[in-house]
Amino acid sequence: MPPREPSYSRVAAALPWLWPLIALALAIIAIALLASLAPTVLQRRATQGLINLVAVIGLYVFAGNSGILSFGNVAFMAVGAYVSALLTMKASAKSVFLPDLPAVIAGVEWPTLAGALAGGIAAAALALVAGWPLMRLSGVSASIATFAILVVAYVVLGNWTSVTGGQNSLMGLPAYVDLWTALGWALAALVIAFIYQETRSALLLRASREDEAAAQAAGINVVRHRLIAFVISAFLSGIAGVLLGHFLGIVRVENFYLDLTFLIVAMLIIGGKGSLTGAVVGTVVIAVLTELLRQAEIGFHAGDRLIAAPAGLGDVILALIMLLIILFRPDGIAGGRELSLPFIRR
Amino acid sequence: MGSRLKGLDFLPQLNRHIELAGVRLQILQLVTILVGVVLLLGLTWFLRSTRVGLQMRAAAEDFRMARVLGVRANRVIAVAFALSGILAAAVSCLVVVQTGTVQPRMGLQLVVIAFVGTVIGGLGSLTGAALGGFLVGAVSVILQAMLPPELRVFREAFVFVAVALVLLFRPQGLIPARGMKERI
Repeated sequence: MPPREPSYSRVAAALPWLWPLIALALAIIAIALLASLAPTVLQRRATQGLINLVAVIGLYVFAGNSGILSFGNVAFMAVGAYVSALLTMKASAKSVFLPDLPAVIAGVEWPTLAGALAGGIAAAALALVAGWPLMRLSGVSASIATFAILVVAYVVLGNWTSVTGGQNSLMGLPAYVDLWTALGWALAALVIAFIYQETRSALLLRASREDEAAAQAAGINVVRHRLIAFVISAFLSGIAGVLLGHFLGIVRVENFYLDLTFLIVAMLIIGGKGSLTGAVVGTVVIAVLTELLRQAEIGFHAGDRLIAAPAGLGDVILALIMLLIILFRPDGIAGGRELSLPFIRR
Repeated sequence: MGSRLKGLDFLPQLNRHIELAGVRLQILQLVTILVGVVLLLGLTWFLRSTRVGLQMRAAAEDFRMARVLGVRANRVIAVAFALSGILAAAVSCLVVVQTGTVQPRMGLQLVVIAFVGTVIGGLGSLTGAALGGFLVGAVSVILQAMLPPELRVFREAFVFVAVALVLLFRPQGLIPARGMKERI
């Protein structure tokens, strides 16, 4: 009988496999640590960036593995934000802002973590109900169907005045999300997305992404695996919405509509929607570019003179850069690949 | 002015009303219908009867095959893009007359409707796009008129539920273009 392999070699064997996760996690942690040394404004921007990262990873879980671009994930963010806000707000605040709230919700004051999980689960439940019929669609039809989810959620949340406050902002929810909370959830999202994409279900789903007809012919239940991805994706998006709501301390339905959708989708496409690495890279690149261009618009002092770019130029340059990236790397910066260990060929 | 609304009085004569067989009609509405019909006919003629139109349809159906057969597909697609720009400009003139304001984001709502209309009509077929756009508009107006007032604010939600239902029953759109479904 051969001697048992020492355990360190098993760790070494798992390293190339786990490397994308480890490297991305380390990169995010490094960014957060750097940001924690920066002034408060920059810290808040970094927090916002990490929240966007959770949302982009959420979108990636579905769009990356299934190949269908979803415009509906911001709806799940909105649902998560509202559910968590309603569950964690002080009862006194609720009686002021939402006098018509049903008594069941009016009295509850959940701890923030329970509220966040409930927000994620509510979003996942919505995805299960909406996705069950819609996941049999493919291509542009499926994208439009997810867009329909976004519009329906926007209209309902924006007009269901007794529960959501309608067009008014929902105020008075605990603003507990700081850099470290956001970092924690970003790491959790990373781990969940990574574990998911290593499962059999995700592998089958990626097969259907490459060739739907062939996958079906091979006996893959495409609809079921799409639905699984959609639900996990919605959970993460819901969490991202919870974080955004409790970061701003205010929930407005306008914040969860087209602008945010375009931002999240652009981040994923620029990074490359085919890999988790792409999701992270896209978020970081766009967040950093946005921040740099914002600084350029604010300007800097050279001696007595203020040198500043004209307002609005930042958006133009950002759009140009995104255009160039897409032109030269149509599959995004990461091009659908994950990071591999340096010096080792897999 | 930045992104604020800017009011303007564009072609004010279109906002007058005329009496036609006992019905008071805004001239603008008649003009809109007329422009719509003319553009639709013009586009149909262009796609059916001109060389570029034929190449455009070929490139839409099978981009690679069209190139192999000598169609300058990239240029044709660029022409299509320009053409859609011309159509959009015509629409925007009518919209500005109707609303009397301009704003950088004023087209967003319309583009969303247009996109949805094309997809439920059937991508790659002009008849489908026209039918889809017409249906989305018609359903919106009918709902606006039929819904009880307390549900009227949810109108758009009903429209989009209907869109999802149409897609579920006809994933390729109402009038699917021939050759759009991938052959295996």
